[in-house]
Amino acid sequence: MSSSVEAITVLSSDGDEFKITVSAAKLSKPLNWMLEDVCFSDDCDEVPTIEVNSKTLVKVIEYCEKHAPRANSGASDSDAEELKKWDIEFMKMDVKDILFHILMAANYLHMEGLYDLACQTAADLMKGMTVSQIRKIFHIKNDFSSEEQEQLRRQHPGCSFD
Amino acid sequence: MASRCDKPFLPFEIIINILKRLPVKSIVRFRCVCKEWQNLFKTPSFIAEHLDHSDRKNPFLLLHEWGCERRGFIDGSEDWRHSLRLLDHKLETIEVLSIPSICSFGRRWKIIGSCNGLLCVQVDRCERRSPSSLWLWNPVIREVREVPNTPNDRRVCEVGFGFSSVVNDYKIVRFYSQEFPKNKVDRLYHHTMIDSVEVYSLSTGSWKELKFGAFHIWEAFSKAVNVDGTIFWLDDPVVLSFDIATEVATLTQLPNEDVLCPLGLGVYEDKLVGHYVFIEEDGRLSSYAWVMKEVTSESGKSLSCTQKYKIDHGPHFLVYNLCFWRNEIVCPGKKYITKEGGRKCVLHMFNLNTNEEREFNCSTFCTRCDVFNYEKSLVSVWNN
Repeated sequence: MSSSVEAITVLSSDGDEFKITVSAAKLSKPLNWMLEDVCFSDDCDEVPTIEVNSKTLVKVIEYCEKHAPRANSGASDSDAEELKKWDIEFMKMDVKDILFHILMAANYLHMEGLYDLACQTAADLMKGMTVSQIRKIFHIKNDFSSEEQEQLRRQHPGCSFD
Repeated sequence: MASRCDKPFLPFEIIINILKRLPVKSIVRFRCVCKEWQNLFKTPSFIAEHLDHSDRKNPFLLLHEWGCERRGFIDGSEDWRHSLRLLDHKLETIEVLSIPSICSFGRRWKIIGSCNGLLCVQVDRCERRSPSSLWLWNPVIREVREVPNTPNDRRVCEVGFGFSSVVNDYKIVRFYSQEFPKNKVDRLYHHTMIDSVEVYSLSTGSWKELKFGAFHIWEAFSKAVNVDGTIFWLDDPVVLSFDIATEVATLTQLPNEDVLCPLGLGVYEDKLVGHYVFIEEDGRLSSYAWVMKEVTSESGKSLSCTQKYKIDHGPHFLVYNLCFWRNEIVCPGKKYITKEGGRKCVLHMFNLNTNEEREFNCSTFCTRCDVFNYEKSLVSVWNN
């Protein structure tokens, strides 16, 4: 791999091309391996595919580019504070539409920081939801029989199945 | 897995990772989502992971208030009112915990220890002189269970409750003495001979008697404290300790160079701390805390102490029994509110970083109170 390469091109699962800087790509172990394995010199036209859809990949790359300088050099407390605020703004998104995709991508790309952030964001969004809202977003069926529901209500007065 | 929760959008592994970050209250509600979740919330590994994720550095303050509402002068009956609530760092009540409707709870009870969201409670029996019963209680998930009684009818002189990560178990320990001291002086100074120890393990669900050579202590009736798998009692001039993992009880001498004995033991920044109070020459009060560490030498075990902080001319309330909570010393106390001598219960607080003082007014019915550090958890009172 040529040391002069500063950014690489990757394909999303939808077939769109994206640019990501080498330092940002290093936040993900699989991407880092890809950097080492694949020839990125100008005369090589092989473009690696990342099994993440375009909409999600845009967000993942945005996160990587923002966090790369800090991950590579370490940062002061004020930078860390600023980054925290940025993370909060970054995570303002719809749960099912995009957050779950980010979770899957962060898991697949072994990005611990983004994975933790996304898990915590999902938990914060879920904590105030009702049981039926939870079933809806996770595609879960209520599999308690009416007898079992009755028993649970006796054991835990006030519990709700809706 | 897939058959239970129809077509999960996310892999279950990721779902678990989200769920373990939820507050206990939400998890309790989400037990009704599906059977898979209900079972997950009961598994020891999930309970442990959830506990690891909770904010241990910022525990709540558990306030137990009680007072006698009515005394029957003819039949000697008493009605006790109790309240249990959690306070946050602003001293706002974030949750009033419901007290189990077991009849024995209507009477006198006190918290022996608080550990990972689990409380060990001692309830006095209705009949006089009959032994008290012990209960394990997780008030947040509303689980309560009586610990089986032992045939042992000897006198309990010390009791403690704690957790050891080495054996991953919660244990209750009771020290017994044969009888009240016969000698008047010994009785006056609570000089007791401990001759046996019983340990209850939550994982086995049973009591076990341990044999020791008898040893003497002076009962101080101080609260047991729990540090890193060991329970400590202050029995002037020694510290009695019990290692939860190895089940070994030890008596350790307090350092000789200090003339005074600590007023109480506490846990500050995860370390055992002895709290001392001195009256200065000008009559004002100073308070010290020493971090205590067990050291073994040729002459046996002793406690090595290093000074942690000193409060010069501290507030008067520091002489009371205290508890360390975050960066504060919390001292339950009384305050005169009327000229006629009417008093109310208050919590005095002293911040060790800023030296600021603050006060919290207890409920009007409260004549006594106790405080503990508390973190909400899913830890079950049943064998994990």
